[in-house]
Amino acid sequence: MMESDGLSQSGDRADGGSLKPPDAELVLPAFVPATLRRQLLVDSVIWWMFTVALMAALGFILVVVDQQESFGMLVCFVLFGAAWILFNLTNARVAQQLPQIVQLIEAGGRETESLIRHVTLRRPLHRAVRLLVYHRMAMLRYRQRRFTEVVVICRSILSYTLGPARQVKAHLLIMMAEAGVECRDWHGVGAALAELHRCRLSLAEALRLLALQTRYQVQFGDDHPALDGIEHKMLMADLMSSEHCGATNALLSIAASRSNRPDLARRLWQRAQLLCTPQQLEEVKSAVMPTHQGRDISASSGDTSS
Amino acid sequence: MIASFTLANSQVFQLPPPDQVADHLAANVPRGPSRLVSWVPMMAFFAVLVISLTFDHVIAAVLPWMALVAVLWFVSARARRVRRLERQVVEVEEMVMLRHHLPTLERAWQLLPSLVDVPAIHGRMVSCIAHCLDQLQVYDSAILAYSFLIDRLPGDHDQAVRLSIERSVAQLQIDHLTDADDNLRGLRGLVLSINNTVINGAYQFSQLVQHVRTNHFEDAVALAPVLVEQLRPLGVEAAYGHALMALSYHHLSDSSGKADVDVWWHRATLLMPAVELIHRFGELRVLDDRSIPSGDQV
Repeated sequence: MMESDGLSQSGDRADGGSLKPPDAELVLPAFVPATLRRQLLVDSVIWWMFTVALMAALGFILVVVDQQESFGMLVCFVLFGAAWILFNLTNARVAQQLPQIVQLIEAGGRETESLIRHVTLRRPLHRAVRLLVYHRMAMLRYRQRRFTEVVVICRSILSYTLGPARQVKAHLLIMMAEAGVECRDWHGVGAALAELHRCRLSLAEALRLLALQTRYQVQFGDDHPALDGIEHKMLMADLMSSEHCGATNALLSIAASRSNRPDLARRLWQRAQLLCTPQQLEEVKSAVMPTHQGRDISASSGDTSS
Repeated sequence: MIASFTLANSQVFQLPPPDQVADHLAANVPRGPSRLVSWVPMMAFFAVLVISLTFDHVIAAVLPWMALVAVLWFVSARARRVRRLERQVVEVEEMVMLRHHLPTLERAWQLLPSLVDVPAIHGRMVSCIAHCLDQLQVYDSAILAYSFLIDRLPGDHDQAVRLSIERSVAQLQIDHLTDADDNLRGLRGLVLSINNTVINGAYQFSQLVQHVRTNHFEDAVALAPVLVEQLRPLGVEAAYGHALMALSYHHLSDSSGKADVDVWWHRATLLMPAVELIHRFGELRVLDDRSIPSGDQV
């Protein structure tokens, strides 16, 4: 079953970061929290209507048909089975498409948007399945660098009881925090980080949290907390991808420089130079520029990469 | 080289020799889910329906409901099993990331037989086994495991190319120079066609290892101007490349080359402790205890 497209067509290009040209027609409209709320409500209403109708039908048959006849019971069974299969078929198909959507997001491509849009319009869906579909939409928007929309989607999903979809809670929080950093929504980032510390994280998620928290602390000049357990943090950072490892080293270097630990700052900056391109290092420096007082790090530490 | 460690249950896991690896992989080839097992619930269900229609008894009327419950339980149990296996595979992959190679190998080895009917994650586990064997320097066994995976992937698949490069490095480590050379020559065109910086970096590293292993230090040094840039996507693993470049300058030692040795060794030890570098490439021992240039001199 499909519903008419009630999503906004306006598109959220406030961040100007979309991979698509501004005048391109979007296949998947911008996310509107009210739409998700309405879809969940409609799903819930359909589910209750289905349950009540089924119970009524079963009761009617049991009253009318002689219960000693197995045929009557078989009719009940077939009715129940058919309705149950009908109701769950949509959910099963959508659930099967979720991994495919992730693969498409990673590969890029316009068909991802049309697939997600198609799936969001299907109903009835279980609450968890629908929330997982919108989680994929957040992943897509993150990939497209539409960070404002990512924050809205994640915040909206997290405002509901996740149920079986709680497996993606940590990922939603991480995406929300990372998108918040890009949007400079520091209040939201702080709240997401606090919530992440209460979650059970995989190693990959723990590494992303370390990178995020370091960025957050250095951004606000919390240099001493950022440098706490520095050797362990460096070992953890070594497990990240080259770019993220280099960026974390660069941020820690800035913190060490401001904390008057020049040897540590020099070592970290030289590591960062080996792991990040000069352009990436400039981006890191410019991101923390408002509170950055150690702009001479690169000059004082020597260039290891040239 | 045979290393062993004691398990909690007092059993001893020994690093498997090539024959044992080949047998284990051959015995646990991915087969996909059994069709019979997939159809058994439906067949049982329809059998129950037929029985229910045939006999006019109250128990016969209840049977389909019981069968439905049994089918649902069976399907959910299978789904739970796959989820549990996926969790275990992720745990093993995390152990690989944390470089706990010996316990990881043992766990992956034991887990593999239960993954034959889940091909999607079977390959990930064999990849973990190959990587651990490689890091534990059981190169013959590692090459077998790499070959097992490469043979089951399309030749131009990113993962196949990456595994082929790792296999070539393992072959170079045990002086299978001709095999490695053939592999690397075959990969050259593919690597150029793949726009993947990590694969390009890994390929450059394998070429550097090849030059060092064949004592072509001039060729190795010729890679120096772009090496930092090319190895950068490898992260801290680039340290091995920097260390091998230092070794190449060391073997071409003249007065001007001494400074280059120090610079490259400094880069390597910035990213990774010398003991780890020497553990993987024993010939780097000659560079240990070198003075580290100060920041202003580099």
